[in-house]
Amino acid sequence: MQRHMEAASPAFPSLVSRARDLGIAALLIGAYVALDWATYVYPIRPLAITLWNPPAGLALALLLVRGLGAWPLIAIAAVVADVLVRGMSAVPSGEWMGALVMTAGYVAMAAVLVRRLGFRLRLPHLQDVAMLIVVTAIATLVMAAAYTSVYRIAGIVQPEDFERAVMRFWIGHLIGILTTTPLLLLLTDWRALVERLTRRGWTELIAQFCAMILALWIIFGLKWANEYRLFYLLFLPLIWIVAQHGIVGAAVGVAAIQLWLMIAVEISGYRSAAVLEFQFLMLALAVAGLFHGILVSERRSTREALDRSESRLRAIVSTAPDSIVTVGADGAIVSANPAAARIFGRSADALIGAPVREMLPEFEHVTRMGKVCEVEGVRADGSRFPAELAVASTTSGKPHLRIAIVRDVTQRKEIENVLAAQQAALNRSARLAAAGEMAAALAHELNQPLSAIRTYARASQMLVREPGRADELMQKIEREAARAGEVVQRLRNFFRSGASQLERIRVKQLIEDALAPLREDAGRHGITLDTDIAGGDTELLVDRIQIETVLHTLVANAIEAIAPTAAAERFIRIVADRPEGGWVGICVTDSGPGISPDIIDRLFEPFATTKPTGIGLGLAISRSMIEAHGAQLKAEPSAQGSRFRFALPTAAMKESSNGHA
Amino acid sequence: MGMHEQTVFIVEDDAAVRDSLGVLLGLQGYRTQSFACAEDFLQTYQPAAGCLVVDIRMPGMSGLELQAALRTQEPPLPIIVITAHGDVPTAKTAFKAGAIDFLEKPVDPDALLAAVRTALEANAAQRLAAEQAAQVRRQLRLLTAREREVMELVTRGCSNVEIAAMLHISPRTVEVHKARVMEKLHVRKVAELVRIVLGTHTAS
Repeated sequence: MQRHMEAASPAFPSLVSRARDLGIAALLIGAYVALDWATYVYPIRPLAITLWNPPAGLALALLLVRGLGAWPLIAIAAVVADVLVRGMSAVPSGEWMGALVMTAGYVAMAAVLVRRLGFRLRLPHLQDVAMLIVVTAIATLVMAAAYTSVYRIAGIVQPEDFERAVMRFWIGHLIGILTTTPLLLLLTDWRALVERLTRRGWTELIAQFCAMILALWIIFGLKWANEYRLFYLLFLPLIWIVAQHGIVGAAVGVAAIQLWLMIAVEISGYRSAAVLEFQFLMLALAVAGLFHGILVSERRSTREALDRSESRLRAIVSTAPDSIVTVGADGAIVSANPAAARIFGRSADALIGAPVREMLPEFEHVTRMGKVCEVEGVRADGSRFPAELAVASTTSGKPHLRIAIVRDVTQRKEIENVLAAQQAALNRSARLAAAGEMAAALAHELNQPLSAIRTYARASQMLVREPGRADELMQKIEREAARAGEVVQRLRNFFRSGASQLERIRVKQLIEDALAPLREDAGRHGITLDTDIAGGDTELLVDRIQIETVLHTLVANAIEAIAPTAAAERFIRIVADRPEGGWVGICVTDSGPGISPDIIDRLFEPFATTKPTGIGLGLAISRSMIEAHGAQLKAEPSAQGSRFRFALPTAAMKESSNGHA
Repeated sequence: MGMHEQTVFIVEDDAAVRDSLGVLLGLQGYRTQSFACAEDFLQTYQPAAGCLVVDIRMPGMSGLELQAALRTQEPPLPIIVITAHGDVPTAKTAFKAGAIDFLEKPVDPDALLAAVRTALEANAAQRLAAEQAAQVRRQLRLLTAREREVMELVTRGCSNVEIAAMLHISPRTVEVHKARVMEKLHVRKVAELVRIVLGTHTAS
């Protein structure tokens, strides 16, 4: 059954809608004619000139709401009204000219308003009300001239009546539109209109209408008074309504006053000239009421928008994870959000009024800089934290406020530090790998001359047949070259596999062996090489070449540091502690100028050097070698000179740990 | 045939190393001949008595490639490999190809001298053996067909009577052939004859 209805529906609704459209059109024409008939007061017969012409307002509202395409409806209504109300010819004739002129006038008004001026139907702003009033005033004047001229030419209007007819047409249409069109436009959303009017309850609305009636009774009921001077009393109820309901109140109030006024003058039986004067007063009332109404509405909507924006801002500020504080010109905090209380460790109440420099010592400086800066924040307990601070200033209103946005970046800093440390470690291992490559290349390059030296030395030994010093020196050359080759070999092996060749050696012997080649160099520079070896007979289990290389590097560096100075006290001291827990601590100190502060952080990194000829591998390799023995090489702070410390494993310790394993 | 007729060939790209080796070996009384690269050496080299000291890593042909190129030499030239990059795989390759020794730089001079001595002794011995074998082959060519038959049978351990029976000649004639063979080969005892003939067999 339902399906049948659906199937039948396509043709059906169009018929229904057409019928409904026709019905509405007939209704509208009927309303127009009825309104025309009811307000055909103080007319210039047989013309459509009255002192109050609300059908004009209906026609304009219709064109504005339904579009310019509704013009035939207006034309038909105007002609029908002319025929029925004013008894004009029912067949097309020159008498219809007036209706057509008026229709053309309404269409032109609607076109100018909507198409040229961007008029908005619900009258949201002052300019929409102003447009409606000005366009209506001008258009109705033109229409009045055109309409009257048509009937003047037709001989219906006498020359002496022309000016009066124009004036009456104009005032009747103008006031007719101003009292009707705004109300009809607002009635398109009649629920909002009713809701607006009854927001404070019906009682007040009724009171307002009673006030209106009372004012009219005073004006027209008291016969001893001058009704024109008292007319201004009507402003009072209108202002009351308008102040409360804005443009809606103005539209309804003006229409109601006009209606009451017309009823009043009708009952009192005024002359038409007197009514004309009332209509001018009514015009002033309507214009004032509409302007007042729109101002009230705009102020109200502005305040609502402001409230919304403020509550939105407040929500943002109070939930923002960053501290947001407002600072007055005197540097005292004016307001603070919950994040500020949390970040600075004091209650929002305690923050307000406190000088901002207590929490942000660099606040003024950052204000001048005008960009985001990293600063130190101070908590209530005096502890400090890294913060990002941005300062904005209000640009309107005096005195200017400054808004400080503070972000606690402690966590981010920590993460950054960890990342930096990881990066540094990566760099270090990359450089160490590079150092390994370099050691291999170095080994190759060194091995060639070393090989030649060694061979030459051996050959020289053969040449110097007689025993003596020369031969001994040759032997030394050969031995040293062989040793150098061994170092290079070991170095390369170390970087290739990290493997060390451990052997047992006594502490004293190890240190003496390492120092022997350096004694002459130290002596030449007037440097004393001191040793203080507590447990000299303790056996170590170390890679002899590696540890000799470390000691050699440290002592050679110390000699290089002291040599160019003019200090009277010149010494290098190597102290070996008694074995403790399987380790022998060794400390190398000197009387030199100490470690340069600009290198101290990367002292052990490869290629960090202060020496013009150094390649910066000595300490890097030394540290790797000590680490390969399971210990650490450290530069310790020292009152004078530099101080390096490391530990070496004893043979006893190694054996016991192996035993356990 | 003395040691000093031998030449130590040095192929080494590093001038100082090359020179120092030359000096050292020269002082020890060796005749040396030095080359800066393997290509130069191969260009001038005629099979000679001596040994070769060669660096592995050189621009152009490497020491190992040179070693491979010389493998067909007869008698072979003993090779001592020196290197600044002593690694196990290289050493293995060198030894498999018959190197006498594998020395890492900086080279221990005494180790080098010992290696050269070993190499030259080996070379001398090989050359001596080859020389002897060549002489025997020359002498064998002087024998008649009948004498060679008799010699073959003698070295197999057959008696004069057996040989005479096999060759259908008298034992007396066998005795004459045998005496001529021994005279031509400059040997006095049958045992010596056996050793020479066996030597030529193994040589060829």
